Amino acid sequence: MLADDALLFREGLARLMGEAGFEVTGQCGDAERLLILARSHRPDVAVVDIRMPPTYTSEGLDAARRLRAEHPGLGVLLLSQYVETHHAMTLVRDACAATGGAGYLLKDRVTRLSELAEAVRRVAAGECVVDPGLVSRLVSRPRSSTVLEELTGRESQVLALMAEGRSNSAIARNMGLSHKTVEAYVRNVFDRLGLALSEDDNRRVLAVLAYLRAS
Amino acid sequence: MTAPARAGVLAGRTVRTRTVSGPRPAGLGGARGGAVAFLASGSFYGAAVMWGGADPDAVAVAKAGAALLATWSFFVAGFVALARRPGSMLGALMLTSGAVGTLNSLTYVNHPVAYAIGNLASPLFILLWLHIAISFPEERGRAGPARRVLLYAGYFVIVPIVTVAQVLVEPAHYGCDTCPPSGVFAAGYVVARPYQLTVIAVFTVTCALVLMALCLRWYRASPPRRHVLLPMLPATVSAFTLAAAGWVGTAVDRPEVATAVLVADFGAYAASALWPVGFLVSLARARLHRSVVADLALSLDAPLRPAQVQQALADALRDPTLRLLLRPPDHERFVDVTGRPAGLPTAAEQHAVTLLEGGAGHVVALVHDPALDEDPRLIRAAATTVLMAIENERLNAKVMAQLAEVQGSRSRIVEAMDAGRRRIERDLHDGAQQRLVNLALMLRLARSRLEDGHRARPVVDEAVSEAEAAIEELRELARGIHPAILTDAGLGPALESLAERARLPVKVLALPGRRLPPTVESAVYFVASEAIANAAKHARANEVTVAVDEEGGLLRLVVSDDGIGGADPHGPGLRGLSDRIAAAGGRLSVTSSLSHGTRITGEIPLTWG
Repeated sequence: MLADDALLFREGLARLMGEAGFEVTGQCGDAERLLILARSHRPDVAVVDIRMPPTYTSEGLDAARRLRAEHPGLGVLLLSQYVETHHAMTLVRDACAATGGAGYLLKDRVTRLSELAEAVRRVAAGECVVDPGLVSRLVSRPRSSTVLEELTGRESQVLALMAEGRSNSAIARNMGLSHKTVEAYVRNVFDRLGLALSEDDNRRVLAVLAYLRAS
Repeated sequence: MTAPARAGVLAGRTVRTRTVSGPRPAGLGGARGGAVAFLASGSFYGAAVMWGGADPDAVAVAKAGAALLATWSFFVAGFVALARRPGSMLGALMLTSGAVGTLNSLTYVNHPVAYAIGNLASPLFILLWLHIAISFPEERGRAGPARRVLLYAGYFVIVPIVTVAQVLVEPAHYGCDTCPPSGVFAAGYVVARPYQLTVIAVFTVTCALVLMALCLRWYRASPPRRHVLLPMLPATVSAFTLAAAGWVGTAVDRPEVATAVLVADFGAYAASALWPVGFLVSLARARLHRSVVADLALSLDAPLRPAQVQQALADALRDPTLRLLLRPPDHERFVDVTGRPAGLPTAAEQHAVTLLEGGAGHVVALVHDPALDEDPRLIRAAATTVLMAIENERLNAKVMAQLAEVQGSRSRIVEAMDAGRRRIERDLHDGAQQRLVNLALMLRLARSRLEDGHRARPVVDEAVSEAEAAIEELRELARGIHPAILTDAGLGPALESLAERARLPVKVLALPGRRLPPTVESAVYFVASEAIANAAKHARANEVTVAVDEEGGLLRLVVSDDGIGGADPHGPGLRGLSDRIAAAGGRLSVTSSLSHGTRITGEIPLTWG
């Protein structure tokens, strides 16, 4: 299911998604239509532009919230020409649930089909997806505190992957490590940052993003 | 009666004054006439004394001297009053009293005709004196009905009756054994004693009434009026009391009271000699000094409401009845200080009006006591002061209006600029940025249709990267023009986003918890953005802190760094920030030093609550 007010982009994206092996069940140009279509088509994932009619600000976020309320199992992937931590955190807080994930990606990511496809699959699987560009910007921003610099390379990597919304098993897969090792890294990182370890992945994402933003 | 309009130029403006007042008494034609009367009566008296020879009785000679001293004292006071206030009714009355008193002194000339003339003048002299005593300090027009009745009764009833009695009754018949016989008319046939008693009773009652009238006036008088009346009071009260006591003593006509009567008579003469002095002191006090205009100008220094101006004028000119009327430009009617339409008084109302016209078409009318016309230049100066205050107020209001207009247009310009920036950002987002994303997407699609190893594939890959780079650059450009997050989510998230992207560590200490008016959000955002950029570029700072808090309807932004200072508050950069804050109705302050870094504080009032 695709919702974007730019027709050409929507069509192109539909074709691309088709090539990546997804079935596009419906397309529309605004949030209202999206809600109607979602009711009839029952998609696994809705890919939604954050900025749509009528106000062209952050309709996608509201749509994600409403979709989540109506269809608990539906994953929502928001695309935006700007990725903002504020929006990412709002989405994770409001729309990310174990039953159906939510994601927030820079629109340009569509040119990297594999990344897009992976994000759609992760959202469908109930994960939170935070744009890696946003995460890397947060991790590498200049800061006066030296806590992050003191992390080992592996630890930093784990931190970034957590911020992107990945679960421990996903991190383990991604880094080619055992689940246990990853768990140890995660505990280590949380200790170093002085954060309380949370079992809930979404809250873990929020905690990490908040830390990265504030320090 | 309307005096001819006077025209003059005052402070570069045309000033017209018009005076409306009640009928004026003819007076004696001013000081010159008074001087002539004085000299004439003095010579006349001297000649009469030489011709008839003074009474050899020492007491009578002393009485003659005292009486002459008293009358001359009246003359002097009359001259001074007329010189100070040309056309003054009181001055004229004083001079007339002096003249009549001189005639009255002829009773001391040992000649029947002189004595008769002196006797004729006596009641009129007392009435004139009484007239002055109860009128002072008003020149005319303000006598109440009681006072008027008293004066009419005095002039038209008492004076004729007593005059007739004085002439017809042989002095010896009413107790004056040393007085020469009245040689004018055949005498000795009138029943003297009852007549004498009647006359004495009338005079005594009149004196009592005058004293009562004075007491009543004192009781009713405002403090400034009492200040004026005070110097006259002792002489008036003692003169009338002593005179009445003397008459009563004469009426009793017993040897035991003879000395007391003599003392009372001399006391009365002394009091009457001193009385004009009191009159002059009172007159001096009643005179409004030019300094009141200076005081008035000072009191009008602060912006005042018209009612306060009227009060200040009334106080300064010591006229509680004073009214200030205004006629704004292009208006036909006057309004009073409460803004209600008001007409100028007619001549019958016995108020004087001073009109002044200001350069901008304002007309001020002062409706005041005609007594103030004693010094028309003073009242004109006072009116001009008021007019200047009003003009000043008007100019002030004009400047304020222009300032508000300039501020309004500045805000509108900045708002328009913000709106323009938002529109450009949106146009870029929906236009060029979207097209580039489409282009990248199409290229990606094209690439996927090329089989592996196709010659075009690297080219397409390169095109995709180029498109991505273009998108990235365009995105940063659009963000610089106007960040979408500021519109979407407000100042807090926008400043967080700014801090994330800064080239040096930025700590956000406090943020507003709510959305603020777009102008305020834009102004604060851009100032913070510039301040952070400056800190990164010039200050060699290690860290910047940003805090935005709201307190008491004031939004305060503080951006401080730990850099080397040296920021110039008057340089173009900070000036621009200052202008940006000022356009939103706030102000910017900058402190910058090597030891404490640079601290930029912007404060914007949130007048809309």
